[in-house]
Amino acid sequence: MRTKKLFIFCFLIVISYVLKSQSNTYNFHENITFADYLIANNLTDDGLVLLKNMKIQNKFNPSQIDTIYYYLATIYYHLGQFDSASYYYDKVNSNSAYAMKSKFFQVNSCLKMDSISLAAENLLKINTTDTLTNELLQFQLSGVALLQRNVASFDSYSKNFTYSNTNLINEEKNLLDYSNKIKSFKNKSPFVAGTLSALIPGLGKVYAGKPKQGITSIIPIAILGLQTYEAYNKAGIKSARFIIFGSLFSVFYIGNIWGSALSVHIVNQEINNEINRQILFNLDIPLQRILR
Amino acid sequence: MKSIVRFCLISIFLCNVFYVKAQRINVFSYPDSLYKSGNFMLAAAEYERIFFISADVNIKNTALLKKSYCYKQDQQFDVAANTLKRIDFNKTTDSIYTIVAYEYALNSFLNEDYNETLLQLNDLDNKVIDSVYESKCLMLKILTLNELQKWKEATITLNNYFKINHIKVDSLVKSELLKKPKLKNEKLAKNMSYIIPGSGQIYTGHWGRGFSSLLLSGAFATYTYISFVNGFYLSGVFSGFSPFRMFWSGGANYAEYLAKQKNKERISQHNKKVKNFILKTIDLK
Repeated sequence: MRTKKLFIFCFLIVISYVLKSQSNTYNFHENITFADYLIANNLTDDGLVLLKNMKIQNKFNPSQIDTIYYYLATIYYHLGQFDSASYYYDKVNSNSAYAMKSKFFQVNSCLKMDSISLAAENLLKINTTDTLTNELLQFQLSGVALLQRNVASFDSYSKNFTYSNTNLINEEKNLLDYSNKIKSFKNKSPFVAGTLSALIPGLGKVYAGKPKQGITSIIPIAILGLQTYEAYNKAGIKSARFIIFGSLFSVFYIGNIWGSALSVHIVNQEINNEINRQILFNLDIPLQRILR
Repeated sequence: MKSIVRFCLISIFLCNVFYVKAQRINVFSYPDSLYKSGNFMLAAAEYERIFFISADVNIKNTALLKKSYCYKQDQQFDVAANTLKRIDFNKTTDSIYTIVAYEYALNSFLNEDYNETLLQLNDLDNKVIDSVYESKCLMLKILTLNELQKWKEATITLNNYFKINHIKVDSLVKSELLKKPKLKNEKLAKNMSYIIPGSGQIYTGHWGRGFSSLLLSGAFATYTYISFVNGFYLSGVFSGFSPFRMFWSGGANYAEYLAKQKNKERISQHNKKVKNFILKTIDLK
C-alpha cells in the first residue's frame, strides 16, 4: 500500500513539473534574475518590455511590485530618461528593501533634470542611522549646496566628511576643490566687454575669452568702415553710397558691442555649466559604488 | 497493486521522454505566438529569455535569429543586424549559417549600409547554399550593386539571376532592365556654372534656379564694374567683387549638388523598376 502511494506521489510530481515547464509563466524570482541579466548586458529595451509586462499582470504582492518599480527606474536611469526614472523611484514604498536606494537615486535623477531645489527638499527628508549612509547623505547635501552656489552651506555639510571611506574619499576631495574654484571664480563684466568693443571692435570678445570670434568680428566692421570712409571722401555726406554704407557700418558696430556683452554672459554660463557637470559626475559615482 | 505500480512507472517514463522531446519543439511556442499576434517587442524579450535560459547552442542561435525577425518587423534594422552578430557561427549548421548571413545582409541593406551588404553577399558566394537562398541572395545583390552604382557587376548578376531561375525575358524588357540609367555629369554641371553662372543648374533641369543665379552674379559683376569706373575701388572689391565671387563659386557647387540629387532620383527610379521586375518573377514562379 505504501509503495502504491509513493508511486502515485512520484507520478503527480512529474506531471506537475511537466505542466509547469510547458506553461509560459515564470515566477517572480526567475523574472528578476532575467531582468538582472538584461541590465548587466545593456539589453535595456528587452528589460523595459519585460518589466512593463510584469507590471500590468497584477499578480504580484506589494513588495514585489516595489521591486518592479525599482528595476524599471534603474533602466530609465541607465537610459538617461530621468523624468521616468524619478517617477518610478518615487513609487517605491518606504517599507521596501529598495527604499533607501530609490530615495538617493531619485535625488540624482532630479539633479540631472536641473531640479536642484526639489532634490534638496527630497534629500532633507531622508533619515538614516547607518554611518556610511549618513556620510553619503552629507556628501550629497554638500554637492547640492555647491550646485546652488551656497558655499556657506557646503562648508557646514563638508565638516562631516571623514575622508576615510574608500568609496567616498576621492569624490569628497574633488568637491572641496570645486568649492575652492567657485570661491575664487570671478564673473567677467558684460559692461567692460561692451566698452572694449566700442573702443576697438572685437576686443570685448577677446576679453570674454573668445579671441577667434573677436578677430573675425573686426573684419566686416573694418571693411564697412573703409567703404563708408571712401563714400564720404568721394561722394560726400549726402550721397546714397555714404548713407547705405554708413548705416550698415553702424548696425554692425552696435551689434558687435551688444554681442560682446552677450558673449561674456555665455562664457560665464559655460564655465558654471562645466563645474556643475563635474559636480554631478562626482555625486553619481559613490551612489553607484555604495548602493548598487 | 502490481498493475497500478506498472502503470505509474510507464507513465513516468513516457512523461520524461515526451517532456524532453516537447521541450525542444515547444520552447519557442510562447514567443512564436507573441510574434504571430504582432507583439514583436515582447516576443523579442522572450526569445532573449530562451537564449539566457537554454544551454543548447542551437536553441540559443535560433532564439537570436528569431529575435532579429522581431526587430526587422519593428523596422529596427540596425538592432536586428547587431542581434545576428551575437550568433555563435562556430557551432551552427550550414543551413542556419546561410539564413543568418542572408538576414544580416538584408538588414544591412534595409539600414542602407550597402557596402556591408555587399561584403556579406560576396562572402556567401564562396559557400554552397540551397537554391532558394541563392536566388534571394542574387536578388539582394542586384539591388545593392544598383545602389552602389556598380552597373557592370549588376548587369552580370542580373543575367546570372535569369539563368539560375530559368527566366525567359523579352529582349526589349531585358535591354530596358540592363540599361544603365541616364545620369547627369556632376563635374560638367559644376564647370558649366563656372563658365556661365546658372548654366549648370539649367543643365540639371532647374531653369528658375539657373536664371536667378545668373541674375544675381550678373548684378554683382555690374556693380563691381560701375564702382571701379567711378573710382570707388574699396566698394568695388568688398561689396561688388566679393559677393560676386561667392555667388559664382557657390552657384557652381550648387549645380554639382543638384546634379547629384537628380542622379540619386534616377538611380532610385531604376532600382524600383528592377525590384518590381524581380518581385514579379518571384510571384510568377
